[in-house]
Amino acid sequence: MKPAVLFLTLLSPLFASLLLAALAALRERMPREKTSFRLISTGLLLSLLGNLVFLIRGISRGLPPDLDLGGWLTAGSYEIPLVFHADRVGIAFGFLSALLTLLIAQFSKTYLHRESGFVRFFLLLGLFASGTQVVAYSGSFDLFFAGWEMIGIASTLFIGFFHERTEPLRSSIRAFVTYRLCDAGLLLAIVALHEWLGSTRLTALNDINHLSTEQATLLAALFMLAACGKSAQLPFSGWLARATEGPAPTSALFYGGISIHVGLFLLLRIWPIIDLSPIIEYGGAALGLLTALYASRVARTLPDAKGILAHASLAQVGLIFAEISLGLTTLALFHLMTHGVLRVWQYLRTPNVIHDTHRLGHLHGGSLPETTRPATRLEKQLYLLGLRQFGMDALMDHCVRWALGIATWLRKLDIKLTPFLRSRT
Amino acid sequence: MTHEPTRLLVLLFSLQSLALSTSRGHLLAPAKLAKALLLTIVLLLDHPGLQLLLLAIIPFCSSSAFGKRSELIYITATGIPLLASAAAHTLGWQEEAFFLSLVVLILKSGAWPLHFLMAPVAQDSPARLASTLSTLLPLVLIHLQHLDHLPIAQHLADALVRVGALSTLAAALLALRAATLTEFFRNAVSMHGGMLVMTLGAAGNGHYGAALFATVTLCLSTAGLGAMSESLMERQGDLPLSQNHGFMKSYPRLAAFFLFFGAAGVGLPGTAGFVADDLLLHALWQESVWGTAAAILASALLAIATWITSTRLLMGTPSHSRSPDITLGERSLALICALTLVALGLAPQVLMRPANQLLGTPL
Repeated sequence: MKPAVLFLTLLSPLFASLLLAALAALRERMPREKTSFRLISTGLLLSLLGNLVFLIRGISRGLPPDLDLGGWLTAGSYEIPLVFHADRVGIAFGFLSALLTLLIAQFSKTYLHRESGFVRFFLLLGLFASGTQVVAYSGSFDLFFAGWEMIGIASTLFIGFFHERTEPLRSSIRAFVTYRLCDAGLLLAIVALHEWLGSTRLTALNDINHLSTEQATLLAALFMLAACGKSAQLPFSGWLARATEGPAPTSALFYGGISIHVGLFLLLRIWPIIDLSPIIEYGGAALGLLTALYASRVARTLPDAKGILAHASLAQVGLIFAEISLGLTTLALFHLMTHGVLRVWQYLRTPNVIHDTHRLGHLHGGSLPETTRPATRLEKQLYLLGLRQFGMDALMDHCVRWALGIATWLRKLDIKLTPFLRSRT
Repeated sequence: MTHEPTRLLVLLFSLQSLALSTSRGHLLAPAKLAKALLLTIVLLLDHPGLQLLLLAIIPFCSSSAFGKRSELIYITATGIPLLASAAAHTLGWQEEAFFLSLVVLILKSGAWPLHFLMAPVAQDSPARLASTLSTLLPLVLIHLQHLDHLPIAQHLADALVRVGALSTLAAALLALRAATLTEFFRNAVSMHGGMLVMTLGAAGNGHYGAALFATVTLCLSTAGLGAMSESLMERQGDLPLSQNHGFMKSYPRLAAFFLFFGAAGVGLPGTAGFVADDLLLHALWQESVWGTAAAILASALLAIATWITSTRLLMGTPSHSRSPDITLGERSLALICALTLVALGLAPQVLMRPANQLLGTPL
């Protein structure tokens, strides 16, 4: 792996974003749409070319060796390694991400024309693109976490993109709460991995036979918690439908194409640990299947196209989750790639499909034909449960309220602790 | 006098923190210059007793020190134990000096529930609070270099981590429920204070470099956030967080820096905060797994509180304001601090290598 190609792949979108940010900060006027688009799309194109180099090299001469640039930070026995790894899973995910992000950039140039947040959109797109590339090619979990966080931040900011309205802001807070709380699992798993295996490098997973079953179960559970948050698995599915508040191209890229699959990519990376713990293996499969069932039922009750698509994505992601948990990793990778491409296309086509449906409806001389068979009792009950999202949102809200209750009690105590010093003299 | 690189770096960061906490137009005020000069002397001297003595005196240079009863109480409460610590060190009573210095560090950091002295100081001015923190960094360095190698530090390590973990969690939860901008800032400082207590616990077992790095990050990000909060308060007063104010359009640069410093304090990748969190968590794991989990959870809660506060202050229906965005001077200081945080995040060895040489590395 040549460092120049690697850094081009990883960092060119980020540098493009930083350059755009500097232009916006230094000049009185915002950069023009054409300048913003050209700058970011150049960064994305370079990243795609870098991925192509890895792909062609991987096919023709075998996978490139790891690139080890030593320790980013060393203190005693502790080290944050600066190491990059390109295997078939990483190259496939990196290439898919780079390709879809570039296509979305091209689409958004017209879609967001004259939108007030045009520059902000492209700036965040560069950040997201670099985040996905860091995740794809990181050779250590510390670097992986950095990329993972970049994706989370970009996702949150995209959900709250139309920040003048209250609802997107609420949705962004909900998504951020889910991300951060589940990321705590990833962070704890990384620290535990370092302490138990002596390193956070991916190659350290070759020594996982030294772990006890309890340690492997705990590690796999923590990694799975993080994956559940990012990939919206039960019980953290509530944020996904709300996340489509952002611009349509980002919904396509994040909740159809890439971001929702990042949790699955993490599971593919840590599959050897899952394999050591039968509880997590079968538990993960059950969770994935339950999420698929949940999403398919909820999708039938939703009135909006984006919400239905989000839940259709969730159902497929649940299936991939189950596939990985059961060890069908090659099938899962293939499923992930094809699902990502299909779903991006569907999200981008949605406005036209709605338009076409309305036209077809008019051509038929009314609305589309409806079924005449009366619903059974079970169907009615399932519909009602789906309408209430099986109480999942209410459950999460209850948990949040409970935590906020403690905070409120603490605040009352805090106010009582300090009143006599608050007065001015 | 010494030219040891760690001390010079700490001096640089302390001065940055002090400059950031100075509201616009008062950068060259005599009190501030005197404080900067004393900080320089403290960090260039090589006599712990004298250094502690000077650090006890420095807060009294603040021009506002005698304007408020609360601030005077705060300065006295932290100053007297520090004077006692200086005296104990000079007399060779090392354990007493360590204990007194530790008490001052905990009080100064504002760790919950010992934040009751600091709370009123922060009530009207986040920058004033950030200013009091500028003396924290040299004190941590002196504590780590001269006092934290004693056996008592190792004995207290576990207790400090546990107390710090509880304190961090409580402050993070309080930040979630903050009703105003100053309340949020005070709780954010308090949460970082709890982290500092945990850091000192980890340092008890030899993680000196990690402790210093975490403190530098804490001071710089807090000073940055304090400066931006102060700038916003100067323009709009202490804003309630019960509604969205939408100041992003009126103050885009202030908004960008507010978001940056808020995120850097909770581990934004590419900044010193990310490295500090990583270092601290690894150091804490060796003391207590539950402490590590509490620190991670508290950091997540503070990140959520920061995002909620940012959305309330900056987003929503745009508010049109006649007051200008942050001035060139404020912008320059904030930019220097932000670049320092990024530089330390990308090249942490710049501080860690000399710090490990000066203070020693963990086994």
